[in-house]
Amino acid sequence: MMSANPKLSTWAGILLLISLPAPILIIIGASFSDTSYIQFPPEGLSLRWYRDALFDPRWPRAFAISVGIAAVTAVIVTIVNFMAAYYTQRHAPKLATWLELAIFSPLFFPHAAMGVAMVALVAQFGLIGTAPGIVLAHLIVTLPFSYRPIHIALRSLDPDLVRAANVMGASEWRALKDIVIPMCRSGILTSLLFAGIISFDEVTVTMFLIGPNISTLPVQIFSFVQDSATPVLAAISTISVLITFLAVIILDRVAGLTFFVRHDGA
Amino acid sequence: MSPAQPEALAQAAPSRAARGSIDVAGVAKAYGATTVLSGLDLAVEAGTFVTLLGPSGCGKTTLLRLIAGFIQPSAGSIAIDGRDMAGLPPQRRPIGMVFQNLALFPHFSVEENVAYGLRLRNVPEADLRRKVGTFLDLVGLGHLGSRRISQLSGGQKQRVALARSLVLEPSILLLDEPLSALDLQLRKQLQVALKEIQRELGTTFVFVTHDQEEATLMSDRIVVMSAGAIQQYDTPPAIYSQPANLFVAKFVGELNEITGRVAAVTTGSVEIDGPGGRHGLPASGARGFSPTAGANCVIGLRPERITILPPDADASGRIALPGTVVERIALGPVLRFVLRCGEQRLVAVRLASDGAALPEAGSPCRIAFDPADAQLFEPLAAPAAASFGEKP
Repeated sequence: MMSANPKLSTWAGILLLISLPAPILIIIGASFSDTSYIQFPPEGLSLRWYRDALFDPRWPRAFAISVGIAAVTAVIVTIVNFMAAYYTQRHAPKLATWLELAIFSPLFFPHAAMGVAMVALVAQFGLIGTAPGIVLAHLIVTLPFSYRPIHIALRSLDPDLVRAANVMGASEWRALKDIVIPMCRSGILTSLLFAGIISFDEVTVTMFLIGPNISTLPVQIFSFVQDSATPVLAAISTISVLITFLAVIILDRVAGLTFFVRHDGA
Repeated sequence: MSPAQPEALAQAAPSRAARGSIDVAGVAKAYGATTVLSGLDLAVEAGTFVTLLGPSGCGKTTLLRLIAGFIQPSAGSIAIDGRDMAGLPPQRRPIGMVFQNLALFPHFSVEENVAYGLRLRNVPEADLRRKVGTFLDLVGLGHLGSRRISQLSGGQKQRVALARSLVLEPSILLLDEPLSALDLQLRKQLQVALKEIQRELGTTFVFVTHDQEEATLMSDRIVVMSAGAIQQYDTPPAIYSQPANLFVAKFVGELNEITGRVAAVTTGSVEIDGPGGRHGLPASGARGFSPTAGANCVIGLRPERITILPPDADASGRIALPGTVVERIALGPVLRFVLRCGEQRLVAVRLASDGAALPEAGSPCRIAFDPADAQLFEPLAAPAAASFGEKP
């Protein structure tokens, strides 16, 4: 079978490699268009849509809100997952299965259904249309994505390292600070990045929770596209892609994102 | 060996003389219905190199972890330096530990690994530098302080683990099979190095191993363990020549076993029916049991206690069994003989320098031994026999 037609599989592979980033390339191309509708390839080149995106205060504001919510969500969800994973692995390994079931459960629910549920939950606290309300919902959505890299990092840590620190006089907290956290740095950064990107990207659940004073970038793009699909959207999307791309590169340099590719059994 | 008096010791103020002593009294450990250790008593004198020796699953690592404080005993008490350790976590015990996989901190340099415990104790920087230097020199790594752990060889890592524990000057150092992952050559070097460092510092070392040769080579005293109990606690020569029972005799050193049955017991002597007829052995050769007529028993002989005589030679007061030489193997300074005596297979070791007078493979011979060199044992119970891969 392998030898039957190696060319076919080669071409299929190339096609796949082209088609995956193709929509992004089209959006980038369209953002430089000088027409007032999204067009690819662009007829003439212009930077006017970038100017519009940056000088219309609505867009930088939505962007700042999204970044803020993503950052707060990522930090909180990473801390919560770290504490949960560390505690269960060290003190209650029998609870791990139940904990994982709870943590992964957001993956099983349709986001629209979760949005409705979130409205009910967030309204309980009177947080509809506020940033804390959106953060609360994002914490639940990002929980499973942040858990995995932390869980793997902690599990690949030799438990004797903590014992060795204890014997040398380190309290449990001191061992956590000096040994466990530095050695799980890569998993922690991956969790921050994952949670941050997913929160930054979230539309469905977030749509239920925005208010007149607050909206995130993707939700605002969504509502904007319903009125007028000008290339300003392409410009904003291009900026978002660029920022995400830079974040991944920087984190890879700092930490080495091995957890993206490392299999669970590592 | 000082007798264990835990109550008295717990009340006494920790004296300098007691620093490094360990007193285990009635310690048991069970997980649910599974008993791992049952009623251990052990008193280790300060400054001893003591080895916990036994097959895997005998409870030696459990005992080490109890002393370290990673787990708590189900019953009994453990005192270090004469102080009761009940309820104290590892960080409050006067111990150091070298782990089986060493557990060096890979994100620290060699120096930082050694300095870590001192930093936790807020030792002033100048003192800290000096101590780290001293102990790195002690283990022969003075020139590698700034290396990363990943840049070290296996033997160097062992030395860092040792320096890191010893720099804190613990009363006792616990070592959990730290040499098991090394190749033989390096292992032998480190065995000698460990013993020298222990002698120099006078720290009590508690070393866990399943390798009886390693235990014999390094230890002042050996604790032979099996099935969650201490079988014997004594010096290596005493364990070899006066084993407490058949398990110890088989586990430490090589042993020839001749099965027989007790025919009669008289004052000072035991008559045994075995291969070659009825033999009289001194009753003082019985180890850990009192022979009774009709009971099965095992005559144990160390290989160097067997003399090989020509078939027509005079046994002159020794017991002599008819046999044949199956193999004759030259091993440097010694000759190793595999002999057959009826159904029994025996091993004898003689000096190579006496080789000219000894028979070749295939020739008939007389297998002779002094009755005073024979030891008499009760056959092993099934679980103990299983640890030698035998069916009883």
